Amino acid sequence: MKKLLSLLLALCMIFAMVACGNTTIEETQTPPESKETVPQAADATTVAESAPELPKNVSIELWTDMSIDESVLNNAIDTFEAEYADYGYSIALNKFAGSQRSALISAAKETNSLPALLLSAWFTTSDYAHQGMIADITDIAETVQNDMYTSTYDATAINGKSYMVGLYQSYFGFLYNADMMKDAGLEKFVPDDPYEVTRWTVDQMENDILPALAEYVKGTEKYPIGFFAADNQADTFMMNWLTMLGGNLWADGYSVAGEDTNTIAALEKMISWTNAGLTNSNVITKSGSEVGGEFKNQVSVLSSGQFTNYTANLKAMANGEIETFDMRIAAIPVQKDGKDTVTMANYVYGASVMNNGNEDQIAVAKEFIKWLLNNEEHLTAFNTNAIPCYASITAATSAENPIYAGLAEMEPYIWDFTGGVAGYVSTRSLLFPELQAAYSGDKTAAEALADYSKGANEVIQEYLDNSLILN
Amino acid sequence: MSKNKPVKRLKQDYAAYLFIAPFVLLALVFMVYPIAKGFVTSLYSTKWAGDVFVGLANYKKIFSNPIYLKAIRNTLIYVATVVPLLIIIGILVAGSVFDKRPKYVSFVRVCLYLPVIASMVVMSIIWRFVLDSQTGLVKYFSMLIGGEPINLLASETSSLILVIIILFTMNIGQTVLLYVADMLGISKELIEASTIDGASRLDLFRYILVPLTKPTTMLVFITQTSSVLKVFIVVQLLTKGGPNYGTTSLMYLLYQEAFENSNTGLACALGVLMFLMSLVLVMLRFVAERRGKE
Repeated sequence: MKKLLSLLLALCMIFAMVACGNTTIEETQTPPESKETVPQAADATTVAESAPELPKNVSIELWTDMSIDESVLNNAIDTFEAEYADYGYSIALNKFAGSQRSALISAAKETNSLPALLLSAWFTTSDYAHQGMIADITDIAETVQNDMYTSTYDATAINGKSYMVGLYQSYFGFLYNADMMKDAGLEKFVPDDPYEVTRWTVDQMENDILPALAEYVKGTEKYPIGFFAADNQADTFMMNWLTMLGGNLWADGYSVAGEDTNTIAALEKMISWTNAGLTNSNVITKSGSEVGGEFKNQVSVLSSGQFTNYTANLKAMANGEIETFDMRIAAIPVQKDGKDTVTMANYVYGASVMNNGNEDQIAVAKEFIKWLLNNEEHLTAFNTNAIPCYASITAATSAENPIYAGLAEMEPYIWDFTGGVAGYVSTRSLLFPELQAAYSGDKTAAEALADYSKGANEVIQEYLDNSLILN
Repeated sequence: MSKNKPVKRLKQDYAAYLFIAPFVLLALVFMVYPIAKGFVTSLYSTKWAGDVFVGLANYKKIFSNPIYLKAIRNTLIYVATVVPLLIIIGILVAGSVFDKRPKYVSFVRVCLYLPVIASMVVMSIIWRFVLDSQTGLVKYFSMLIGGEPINLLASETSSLILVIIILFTMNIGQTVLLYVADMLGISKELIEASTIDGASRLDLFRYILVPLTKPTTMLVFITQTSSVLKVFIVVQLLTKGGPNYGTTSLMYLLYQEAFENSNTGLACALGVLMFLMSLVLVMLRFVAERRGKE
């Protein structure tokens, strides 16, 4: 009897495990069997009357790391589901922090569970396109190309094909504390119009503004401008500083920082600024988040910052989370070939369709993007989260967002900090360790940049050789 | 007759085999299979379309890239310093307190075990606050005595030493706990006899405590070697592997390759390398132990 009981117990445990396993596989991997087809949506707000066939009863996942109010996403999803109620579409939203993105997508890739829709920043997504994880949506992007800013459209295209449609963008340059600037006797460098994007020259920065600010903060824990190289947050901003001081980072799809004497001189100048007390002292261990935090707490006068930081700080002031001060945006001054100009870099945030192997889900994901691009209300809600990607939305919303006009003037000066190189995302982890080596004195600026370029070009070459969209 | 013997024994013991069957099955599914799969995947390139067999290319990349070589060096430094420190200090602390009043022993154990209970993440963040060169305690005390602000995480050497110290403080509690438990099991008569024979505290350590806690030493060696080889959280949260890869560990690069670069093949090769390093270190310890006995 005891043996019989033990036998039954063991069998039960084995069967229980087997049963559990089967259920999970069926629930997560079997696509919907129903494939009834109906006509596709015809225009923006109503479901189509003439178009290719669309599948029915499809559930998709939308993953995003966008810093956007969740209600904007949920409202768009709810409206889409309601308008496509006859088709039985449902979208499950998974919103997570940007720091989790690569881990989640890598895990999903390994387990064949990629979402159909990804809303993210292009500069963190482009490698996925080369790895064949992002679908070509040129046909959808072309429908809005005329209205979209050229720099925005071009930034999300590889070899003329689009892998993302922009939903909003965030220019980045300087954020500065105009009150502290005025206190330091630098009134003439602060424009009267608070919404004007301030333009200085490199000479003014180096010889007037930073020395005056260094004097102003002397004897306190404050510092004039925040530099940071603790992690890969440093890449875009450090590239901005290097560009500001005449550096040239990319050429013909490769990194040239290591062989460009101007870039080497730029890094040497950055280090000399730090040694002269014009920046924070702990550049090696400082992260962008810390510098941003210290700027909004008025520990620094100037900070690198993107537009979304600007709006977040304004919101924090309005909520009483931080003390109110006169915060302004400035462009990055550049001096090239003896001429003064300005630039700003740009993060484009948009929608991509992921090649998750499920044609029905891919079709619905594309349909969602088409629908969104034609839905004025929801597209405006996305775009006004930061800077609109579309000239028409800028025009329509400038009255309530007076800063848009000044930012729109910067559009011709935008530079693509990724250089459009294959494998840019993977090169991000290579720059900051070399900057640390240069700052600590373990390497000269020339050695550090040469090692960076060598490593970056190896990555780029690997992508050029293996890219599924270039080969 | 002899042929039937195994069958007969199987019939006799089938209930026992059935009882362990679920656990064997779980071990096969969750331990043996992943390890085998890891070995196989390390021979493939998984970053691009489909899995492509590349032989030992992933291993070649590891041993030809200065960043990976630096990570191997750092990881070995962590093991070579933290594990002996844990064993030596663990025995010394446990040997100093195990025969004191129970309340005192408990107090010491709790104090040393607190960092073990606390989350590694929380501990790393606290260390970051302490070491921050702008607002940290180290800077504060340095300024208090009239010195310059110190940024200990800005130099490769000092940040490597700091990671070693942090790993030590995070693991010493467990080691002391194990040694104290072992020492409390040593016969009191034996210790009293040694005292009557005039043995000093040093003799007590040398002739009684160290030899009789050898099984615990072996346990600590194996578990801590394996644990330190996998150092990740401290590196990720405190130094990001820097400055200039000065504190990068194999596990940190494994994470980067697997979850930042979607390069599972290379990540698995790093995992296999760590597994082999752990195996070799433990085997060496076993050989040394056996030779000691001979």
